Amino acid sequence: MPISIAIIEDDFRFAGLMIRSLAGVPDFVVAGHAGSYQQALALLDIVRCDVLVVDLGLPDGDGIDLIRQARANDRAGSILVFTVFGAEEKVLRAIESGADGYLLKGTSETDLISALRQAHAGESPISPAIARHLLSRIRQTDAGRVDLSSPPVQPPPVTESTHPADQLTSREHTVLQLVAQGFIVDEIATQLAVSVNTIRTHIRNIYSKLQVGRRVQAISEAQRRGYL
Amino acid sequence: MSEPHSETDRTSTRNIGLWLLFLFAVAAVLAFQGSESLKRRALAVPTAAFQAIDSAELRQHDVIAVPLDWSSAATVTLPDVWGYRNPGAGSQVWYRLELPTVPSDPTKDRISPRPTWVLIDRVRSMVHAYVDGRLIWEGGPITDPVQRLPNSPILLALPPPVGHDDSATTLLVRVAAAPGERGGLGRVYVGEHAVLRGLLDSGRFWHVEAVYITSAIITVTAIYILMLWRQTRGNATGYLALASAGFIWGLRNVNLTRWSPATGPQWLEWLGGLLASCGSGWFIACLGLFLAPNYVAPAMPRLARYITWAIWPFMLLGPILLLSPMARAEALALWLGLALPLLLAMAFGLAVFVWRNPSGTHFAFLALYLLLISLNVYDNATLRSPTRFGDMYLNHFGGVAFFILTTQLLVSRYGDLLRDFRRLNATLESRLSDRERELAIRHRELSRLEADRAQLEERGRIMRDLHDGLGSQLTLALLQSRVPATVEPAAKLEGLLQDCLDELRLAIYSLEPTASHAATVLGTWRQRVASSIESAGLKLVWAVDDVGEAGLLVQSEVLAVLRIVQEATNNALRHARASTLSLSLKATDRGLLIELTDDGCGPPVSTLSGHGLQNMHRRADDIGACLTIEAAHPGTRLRLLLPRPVAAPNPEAT
Repeated sequence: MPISIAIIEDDFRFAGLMIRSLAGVPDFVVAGHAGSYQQALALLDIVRCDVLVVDLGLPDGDGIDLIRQARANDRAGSILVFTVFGAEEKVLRAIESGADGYLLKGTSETDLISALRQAHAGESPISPAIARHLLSRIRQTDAGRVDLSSPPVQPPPVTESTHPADQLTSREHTVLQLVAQGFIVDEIATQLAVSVNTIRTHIRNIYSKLQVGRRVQAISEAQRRGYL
Repeated sequence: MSEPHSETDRTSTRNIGLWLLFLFAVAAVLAFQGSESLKRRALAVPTAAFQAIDSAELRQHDVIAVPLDWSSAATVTLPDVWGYRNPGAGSQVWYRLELPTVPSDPTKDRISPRPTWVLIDRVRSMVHAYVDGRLIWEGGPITDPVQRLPNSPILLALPPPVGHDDSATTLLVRVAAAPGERGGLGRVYVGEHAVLRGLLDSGRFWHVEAVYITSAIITVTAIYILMLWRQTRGNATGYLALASAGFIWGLRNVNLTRWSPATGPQWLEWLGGLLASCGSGWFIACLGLFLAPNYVAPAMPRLARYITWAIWPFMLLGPILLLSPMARAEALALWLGLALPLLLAMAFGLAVFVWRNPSGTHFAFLALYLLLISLNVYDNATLRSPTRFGDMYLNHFGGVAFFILTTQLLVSRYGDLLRDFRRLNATLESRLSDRERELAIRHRELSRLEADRAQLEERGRIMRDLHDGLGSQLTLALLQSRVPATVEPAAKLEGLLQDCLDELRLAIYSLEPTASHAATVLGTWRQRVASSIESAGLKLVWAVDDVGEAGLLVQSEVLAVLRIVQEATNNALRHARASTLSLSLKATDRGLLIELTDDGCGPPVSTLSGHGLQNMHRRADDIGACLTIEAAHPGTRLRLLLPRPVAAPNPEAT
């Protein structure tokens, strides 16, 4: 079963290069390409893809909003954001909105392909900077557990984040800490005497907690605004 | 300083005071006119025959046993104080008065030419009155020593005539003087009871009740001045003295009346009398203590000083004189006589002050002060004059007016002070808030300038960095691109361009606000170079400790650390022929330590690009870090020490 990939990128040169790279891969198929926010919405109405790659700098809309809608309507299996520099604030917001990771523009072809494959496989790439970012927003509870606090850029949530999904386990916290120190997944697995998959699962859980938390918040926010 | 302005402010209060005084004066004049008209309806007996006869026989009798010979008696005018006129006359004298006939009253049925009532306005000290040889009134027995009658007038009813004699009535009056006093007989009036009663009552009003009223007013103003003094917390000079003057004056004037008979023990009488006499002088002294510093000193400071120095001995002199064997009246006269130069000096100083600071209130003040002195002098003259025996003392009226005006002066002065103080306060406050605002503006400007400067510095640094790093690399890439693919593989150009992108990413990343922890910075770098390290066949050993807050870097440090690490890694990749590269991050007691060790061919020698080495050292110097490159046996160890004040590793705290 080929992996369908949709690309939302307004710079046609990049898009062209990428499509050319992917075309050479046997088990990839390009499901579609959109050059603007409106085109992307139209594309996502028609197509459901396995991996969605979104450029955040779209001319007529917010890429993050696109990600949120795609997630809400389940138009993609995994979502990656394109970024030139990997500026962490943007990436984190994208992940909070439902992205599963990011791609650096200018990555080598092989790296690009393997990143897409990993995304499809459900791996959530994490960088030390993202981990540090997440750690800086963690708040210690009285019970010794750790909570994810409300994000600084969003408006304050209507409900306090005491949702069980918002609390990281101490093991997850340790994993995050080690990632922030620059260790790679293999090394963390060795250090904690567990398998690599366990670590990957931890990271996935952390992300899903982040997304769930944000989803809860998004729902409350939507309720507050009267959308639901 | 703000005299003209406060003038207009004070207009309303000044006018109230002056209006009150004006009304007061009008009332006084009207009342006085009333009593004068009463006097006109009574008939005064202008003269009497006078004899100074004293014999044991003539004393103690109700009836004049020995006939008196009036043929050679002198005629004196009433009122008469024989002690002044005839000092050697002795202490017992006789007066013979021919009472005039009273015109008949047409409203009455019967014609009664004969007067029925006699009013003797004042007598000192004891009196017996006889008509037709019989005693009709006595104040008390003529004892030895003679007792004093109170100062009140005596209203006598004349007995009906013996026989139907329509001739004028003769009244014989015996007066005895107490020791130490000058005996005298006051004015004598004849008339109807109603008229004489009216005269008596009006006399009582002016001599007694008016004095009580003025004393009460003066005491009230004195209390007010005392409260004012306490308000200023005792800082106002002379206010206490003025209040004391008021209290002394109120009490002393009350004692002047003495119309009621003396009650109480003798010693109390004596003490009261002494204090009352002292009061006259002490009043002047206290007045001086108020006037000198407040109203003389501003114009003539030296005169004020002299007056103040003279006052205290003057105050002590009074009791000394009064307690001396000298007669009370003489002592008092001497003392008050000495007060006169003091009073005149104060008047002069006050006049100069008013001349220099002219205003309606000040003129009124000077006028009332002069009135006070004149009335004092007048009263003294009355006291010692035979022709004004029994006349009213006027001093307390002058005192009232003076104290009312003075109180108003002080109140308005106090009000001015408060107003000036409040104005000054408001000015100061507004000035203060202006300054604060200025300071805030200045501060904002300063911080803005600081921010601008920091920004410029930052920009400068970035530009320098881009120029050094990206600039040279792009140039290299451009040069490489001109080399045809046949000479050198295209991968080399790709590598160079990738380096350029990495360089840019590095520069941008160093500006990220979150790029502040050494571990994260190095970890991010690792992610980026991981593939190139791997493809070069190098194994990377990652030994980064949890250094906590000691690992926090400032922006300039971030870039420098990354470049140094990158350069060292490039050296290891290209020249050292190493197989393992290990990077460690530790917090030591000297600071943050980054170590990069490879197991290659040893420390760089001059064959390596000295330029790169120079760059690393320069960057380390720029951030104040210590860079050492030494042999690791085998290989090379690079040590970068970033000084930190506290290097104890903390558990990660956010």
